[in-house]
Amino acid sequence: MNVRIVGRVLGFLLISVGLLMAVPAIFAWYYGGDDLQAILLSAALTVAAGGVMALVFRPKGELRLRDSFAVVALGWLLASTFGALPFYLSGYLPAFTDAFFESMSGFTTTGATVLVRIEQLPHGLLFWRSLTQWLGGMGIIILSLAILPLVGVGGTQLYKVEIPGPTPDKIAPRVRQTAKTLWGVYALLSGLQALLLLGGGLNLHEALCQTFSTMATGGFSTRTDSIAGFNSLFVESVVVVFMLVAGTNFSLHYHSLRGRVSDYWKSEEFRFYLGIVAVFAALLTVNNVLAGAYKAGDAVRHSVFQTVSITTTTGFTTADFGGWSSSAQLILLFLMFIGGCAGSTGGGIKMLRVMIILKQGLVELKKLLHPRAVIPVRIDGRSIAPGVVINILGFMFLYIGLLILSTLAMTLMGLDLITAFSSVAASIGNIGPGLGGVGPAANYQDIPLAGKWLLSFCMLAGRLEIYTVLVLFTRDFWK
Amino acid sequence: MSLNIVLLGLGQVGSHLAQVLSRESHNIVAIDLNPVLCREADECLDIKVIAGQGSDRRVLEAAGIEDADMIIAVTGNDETNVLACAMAARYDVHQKIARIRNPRFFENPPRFTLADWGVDLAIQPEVETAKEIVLLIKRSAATEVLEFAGNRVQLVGVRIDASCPLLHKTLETVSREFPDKIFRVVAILRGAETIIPGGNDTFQNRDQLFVIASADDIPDVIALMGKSDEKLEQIMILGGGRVGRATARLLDEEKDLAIKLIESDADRALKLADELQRTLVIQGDGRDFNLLATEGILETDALISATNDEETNILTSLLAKHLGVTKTIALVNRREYLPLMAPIGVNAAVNTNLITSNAILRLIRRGDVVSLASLSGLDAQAVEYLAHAESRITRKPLSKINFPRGAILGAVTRGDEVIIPVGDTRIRPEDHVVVFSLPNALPEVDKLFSG
Repeated sequence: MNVRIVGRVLGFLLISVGLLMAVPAIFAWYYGGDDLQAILLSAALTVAAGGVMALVFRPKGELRLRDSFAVVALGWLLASTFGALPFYLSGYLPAFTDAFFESMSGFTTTGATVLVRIEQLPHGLLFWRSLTQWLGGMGIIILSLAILPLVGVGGTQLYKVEIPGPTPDKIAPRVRQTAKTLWGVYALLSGLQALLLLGGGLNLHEALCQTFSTMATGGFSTRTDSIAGFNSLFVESVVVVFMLVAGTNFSLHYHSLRGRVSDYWKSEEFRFYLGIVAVFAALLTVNNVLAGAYKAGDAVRHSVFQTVSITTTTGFTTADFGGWSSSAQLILLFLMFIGGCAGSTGGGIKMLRVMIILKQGLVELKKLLHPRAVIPVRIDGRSIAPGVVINILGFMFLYIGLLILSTLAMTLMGLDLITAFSSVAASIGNIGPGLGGVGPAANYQDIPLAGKWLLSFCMLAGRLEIYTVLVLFTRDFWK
Repeated sequence: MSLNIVLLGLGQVGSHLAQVLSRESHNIVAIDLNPVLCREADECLDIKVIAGQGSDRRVLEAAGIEDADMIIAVTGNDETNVLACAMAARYDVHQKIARIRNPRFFENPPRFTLADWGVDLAIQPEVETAKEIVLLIKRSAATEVLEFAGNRVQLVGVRIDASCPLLHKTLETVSREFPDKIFRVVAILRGAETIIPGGNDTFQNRDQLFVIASADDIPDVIALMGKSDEKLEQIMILGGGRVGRATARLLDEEKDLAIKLIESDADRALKLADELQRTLVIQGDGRDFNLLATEGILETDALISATNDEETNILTSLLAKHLGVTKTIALVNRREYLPLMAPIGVNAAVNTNLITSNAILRLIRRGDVVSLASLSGLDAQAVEYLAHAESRITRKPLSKINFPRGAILGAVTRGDEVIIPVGDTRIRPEDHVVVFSLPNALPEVDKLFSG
């Protein structure tokens, strides 16, 4: 590994995280909160640490593929560590484990919180909490590629490592341009949502915080009751639409902004995504009506919101689905695994992967009857290289393996099966609320110390799509 | 009128063209790289032969490109063919024909056309062959299908058997039994003998009849022969080579067909599977009987054998016939084998070289000739003439015209109407007339249609 160049890039990354950390100070100052000092101190510390690293490490040679994995994985780890400082130094989360958990949950757009009463947090910290989600949503490395002149750094590798989807799609020939474009689309859509929420009666602080969490499919709200706290059908509708937008492949948004609106419907993954949401929202509605939980109107409202929130891996809630029927909870648990579209800010296994594996399964059925048949798996009419299918199978296996081992570890810490399993599933899938002890009405405060570290690891592994993180644990990587 | 023609390539297509064209008194200079082919052509044909590279300026000049009326580039190499046409354009050669195999040359939307490179006409042998195969699949009772007069007239080959109600009757009897003339028998292939039938000839068991009729009437005519066009739905193609691929691509569009394509090369199979949306591509050897059985050869309606090995194609067709496959079509590029195909039981044989040279000949016999086709296994040609005011044939009714022996009038297309001519029919200017003729009678027929 080229320590010098990795150190240099990480230094630059920290400087940018530190500078962005100063932004919440504006709200802390405006609202006169007691978090202003802690925020400014944290920002200064982060910039200083980054500056030292950037000065100490003089780059030599080129960033190779191996270094890219280190940059991305360590970059996220460092960002989350320094991002915990405002929570820790302000004294609102006195245990560093809790502060780190909250920060990691933010950057990975998970949205799991250890806070019991979110409203207790001052405005500056609330803003930082949502801002970490917004930064993590499109990716902090890609943000750095877009705004920093990372001299002599092979950006393409970093880009592919941070957005490792099954079929990476570069929308511009230069990676810097691609990064800028993606962030531009992201910022534009975020601005639109913020305006709508302002129109819905939210103040600027709340509008921005909800927007950041929505567009990143994060799930941090400024209210303990999440979106239910606003008690507004308009706000809920805006959030549902923008969760769906955030769960869509951003290159589709880019193409439609360039005038190719029909690309949405041409995309098989997008149709599959809408189909899944529609079918499961209908199932949940029927389930909730039959269970007598709600009247028909409310059943639709809550079922649609929860389906969209969980499918896009956002994790906002308008209802305590911990109290829904077991079958309804199982549907939501299932949706936690599928996740958003490839190239979206959503987590989980991703629609595209699920589709490809599903189609491969159908191909295998056909091959039973025609053993020598050559049947490609097609997406959008183009066949997928056989290597991609195998890569996805490996991904699924590691995903499920990590899930089961982590669940085992959580049960060994004394958690019940539902809580253990759903907390791990919600962490790897970057969703946030799980079921049982970590359901929408509860939080992650009561998870044991070791459990919080394990879940933080699961969040990072999930956000970077398993391979990038696990490759650091292979012997070959360190050779 | 004799033309000066420069012919590039003396392979199967080139030598056939050289043979036909030299017989029609055109002046041909042929160029080929292979000295063996050159010597053979020099010995057998009345043409001039130059051994050399067809896209070499000096070779072209030695072949008299400056005075040539036409260049026909049918070497095995697309680029050589195109380049030769581009060079010929600089010598003001009037007509430039190239054989081009790579379908990418024809993909839409074209940023440039072949005309940009001086190619007036590009022949895609494999696509033409595939089109013929598709016609044969649709006309399942036919051994041969040729289209004339803008697809309004068809010439079909039908092999009759004991179930044919016309058996042992003379043509004259038959024409009396069916007074409303809807068809004309233009040739009978009995064994290896081609008969241009007269009124006293009879229909024999296992005869192959060649019938001309309006395309709309063809099903009735086939029914008259005791046959019917069965709908062929389960189709199996052996070999994903150029012809197999082109055929699969055409059939892939037909939603009601179930198509299987068997290709032995794994990489090629993968490529084909990617390209074909509905066709099931099987990787395996078409000669492997177990594979054919697994893939349901017994339920197959039509087998198209299009591997690169014609003996394999013939044998698998026979095997399929034996197993009860309704229609077998074999790709047979060796012309010597063609007369054998019907007697041994292969339903239809397609020959890429014959199809290619037909397509080219159609262009060369310009003037009164609209279209021309040779039939596989027959030493005869079907020619579509356009009659005009000066044509001798328009002066009197047909019974008064001394029509050459060895030639027969098939169908007349007048506007949208298709007429089967009889003695008192009079050909009018602007009529399209399909004539079926042995080669030696053709010059006399030409004279009837010229001024």
